[in-house]
Amino acid sequence: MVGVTLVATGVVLFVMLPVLRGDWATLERSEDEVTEADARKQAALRGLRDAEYDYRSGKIDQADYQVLKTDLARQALQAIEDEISDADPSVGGTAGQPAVKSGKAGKKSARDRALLEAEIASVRKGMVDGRTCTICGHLNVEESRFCTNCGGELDSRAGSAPEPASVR
Amino acid sequence: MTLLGEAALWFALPIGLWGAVAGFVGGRKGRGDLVLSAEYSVYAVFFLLILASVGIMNAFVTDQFQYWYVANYSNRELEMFYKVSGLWAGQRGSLVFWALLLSFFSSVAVFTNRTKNREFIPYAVGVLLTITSFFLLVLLFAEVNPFERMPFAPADGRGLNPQLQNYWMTIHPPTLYLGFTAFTVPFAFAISALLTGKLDTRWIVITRRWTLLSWFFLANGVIFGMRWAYEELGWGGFWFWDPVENASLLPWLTATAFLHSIQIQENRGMLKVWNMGLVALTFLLTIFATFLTRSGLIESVHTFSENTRIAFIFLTFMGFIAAVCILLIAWRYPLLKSENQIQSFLSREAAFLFNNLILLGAAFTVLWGTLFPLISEGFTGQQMTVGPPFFERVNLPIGLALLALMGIGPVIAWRKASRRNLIKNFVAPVVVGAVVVVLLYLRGVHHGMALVTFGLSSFVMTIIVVEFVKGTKARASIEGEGHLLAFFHLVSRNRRRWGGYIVHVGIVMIFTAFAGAAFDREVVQTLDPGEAITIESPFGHEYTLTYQGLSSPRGQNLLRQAVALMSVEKDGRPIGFIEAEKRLYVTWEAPVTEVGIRSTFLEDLYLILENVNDLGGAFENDAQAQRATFEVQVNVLVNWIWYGGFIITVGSIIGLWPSRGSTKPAPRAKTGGKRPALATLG
Repeated sequence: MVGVTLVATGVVLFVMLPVLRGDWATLERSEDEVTEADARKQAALRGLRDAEYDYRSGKIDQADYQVLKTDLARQALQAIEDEISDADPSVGGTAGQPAVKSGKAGKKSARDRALLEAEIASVRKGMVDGRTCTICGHLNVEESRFCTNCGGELDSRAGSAPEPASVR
Repeated sequence: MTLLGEAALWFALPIGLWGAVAGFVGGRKGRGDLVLSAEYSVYAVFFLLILASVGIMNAFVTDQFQYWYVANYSNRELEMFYKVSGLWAGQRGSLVFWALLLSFFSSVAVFTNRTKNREFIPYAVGVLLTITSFFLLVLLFAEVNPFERMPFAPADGRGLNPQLQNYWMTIHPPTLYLGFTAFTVPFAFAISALLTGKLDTRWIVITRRWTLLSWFFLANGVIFGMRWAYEELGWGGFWFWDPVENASLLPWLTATAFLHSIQIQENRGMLKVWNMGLVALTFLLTIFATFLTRSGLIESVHTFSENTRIAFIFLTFMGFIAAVCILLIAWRYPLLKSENQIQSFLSREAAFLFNNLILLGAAFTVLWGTLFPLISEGFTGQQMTVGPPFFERVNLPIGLALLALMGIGPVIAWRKASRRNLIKNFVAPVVVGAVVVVLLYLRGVHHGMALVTFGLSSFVMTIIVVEFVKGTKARASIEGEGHLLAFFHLVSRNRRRWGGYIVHVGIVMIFTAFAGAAFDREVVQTLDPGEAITIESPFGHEYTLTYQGLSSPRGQNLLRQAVALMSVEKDGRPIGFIEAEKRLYVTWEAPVTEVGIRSTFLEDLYLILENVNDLGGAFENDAQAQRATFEVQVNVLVNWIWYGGFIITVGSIIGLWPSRGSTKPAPRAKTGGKRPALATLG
């Protein structure tokens, strides 16, 4: 009987403690959590990675790959820009154009913002660099004009995979 | 200890109800103190249910037969192992066990989300505690309290059903229950997403490991159940299409569909309503499975229940949950619109959608076949049974379509696949499948459906192997890594995809095992000692089993035991012995059969002691009472089910393993401090 009373008292105290002491649980999303925009960005980057694997393993044609990649890269950019806008509404930017920092202190730290900028740059770079050969899939060193594997000409405008490191 | 357990069970109800109310009100009003109190209630209910469970186990171990539940599911001679597992041997203890596991998973979910996903927590905790409280209400007020005392304490208990005195039976129900209860967490977060209106993919990302964990336990629970049936029911089969087996299969089918369809939502922003529907349906089916097993509504080999009243309580609860889900989805419909559309039927999302439709078709036919006898009896008063022929006829084509999709899905790209590439990618696997069919046909395999299954299995296996090879090569080329390192990184950087392919290998093995059953052989013969049975294996060799005689040792909890010993020769070469038994348990009137199994990679030699002419004499070790009838079976590829289960486990663990990127930054303070200026939920 003593044990039952002890357990009952202990449990009631434990459960009611926050109300009695006025302890409040956080009910808002913390800054370091995945946001809706972040989830979209991850999905787009994952899509880019899968698209590259699919292309290299022969599941999709070059033409489909180009269309898919451009579309996914655009989505990734949009998501990244939305993420910046979410974090700091004073930061603007439209799809396809990098957002310009307003200089005002936002919720994100400068380091986070720099990382996002680097991510945008990396996706953009992958779109235009033309490092991956569209004929054989070989990854060439930056600014190559011809593929060192098959000798094919590298399209400097749109013929490449995004920077692999960015889509891992 | 038992008294404390009983008090704890009573005490868990008000704490659970308080926590549920505090969660919902705290979420609605933005009261962080109430939400924290609700979270503490989850831990408190878990603690109280541990006490209740220990109390029940203590009553079993110390033979307290004044408790109705102990008296009906145990006896003095019962092995300690089975006394401890008495907690889930019958309806009453099982309901406590269900609530215990749910409160355990609820505690893990609350603890792991103490510093993140806070917007979802209040309502998720509210839902989790509402469901736990429902089980506690049933336990305490529907005449199924495991602590109910009888007016007198009998000298000994009635004992545990001998069919439950099996190793697999002690782990099969807990595994299934783990699967059922783990799925409550995704359901709770889905309801929370509906209530808060935060209907992007986050609730899916938060709960996808929970979904996979639940799926993994459900898959293993079903496989352990097959193993139990195979070892214990003594007829050589592993699946009856029994209502309870079907009930455990149903949430697995819909959870499988859900695991695939959430990928479409994550990748393409589609099927949001569908996924909400699936998560609700799967949760309802886990409750349905629990209710069917423990309600006594449908009689089957393992509805070990005694109270049909709770059937109607469960039905009402399920109706309430279904109504709430439908209303919430209808309310939030504008937020659940698809962001994209399926661009082509030749796309992975279309393949996933077909997979979903087929899995739901399978679930519907199994549900219909399970409920039809009940519905029919309700309307006509006539008892009808829907047997294995119905289920097999309907599910065979469904299974084969799923098998084919398992091969087609991985090869098709997201969005749109070109016909030319598709043909190019399918040539090699189709050729391998066709060659396997031709070779098997030439080797004398002429069973049509089995040939189709073997052909499709080879097709899928080739595709999976080619996927791994191509993926590794692509990775090696992109990253400039060696092939071994590239393979390792390939799997570790996208565990869900590659773990999923490994799970598919396990499923293919299980399908192959099902097809193997078409070649099972059996011989029934009555023998005197010294006589032999010969049986030919479909693999070309021949077994000779020579009957050595009966002996009658006495094991624990057994009144009598007659053990038949057979020496086994394979193509004339002795390979050992095999035993089969008839047992008479202390507390059970009818004799029970224990089979003998000799397993190899490709087949099992399975011995059943069907009948002993003079069983009474045999039990008394009478030398004249030796004549017995045996059934010998060669069960082809049956072990591949268990191997497949192991591979599924490996693949699931790969999928469940946390990836490096998924670990969150260091946790911050547990609470948000004292009353804040603003803390509201939408």
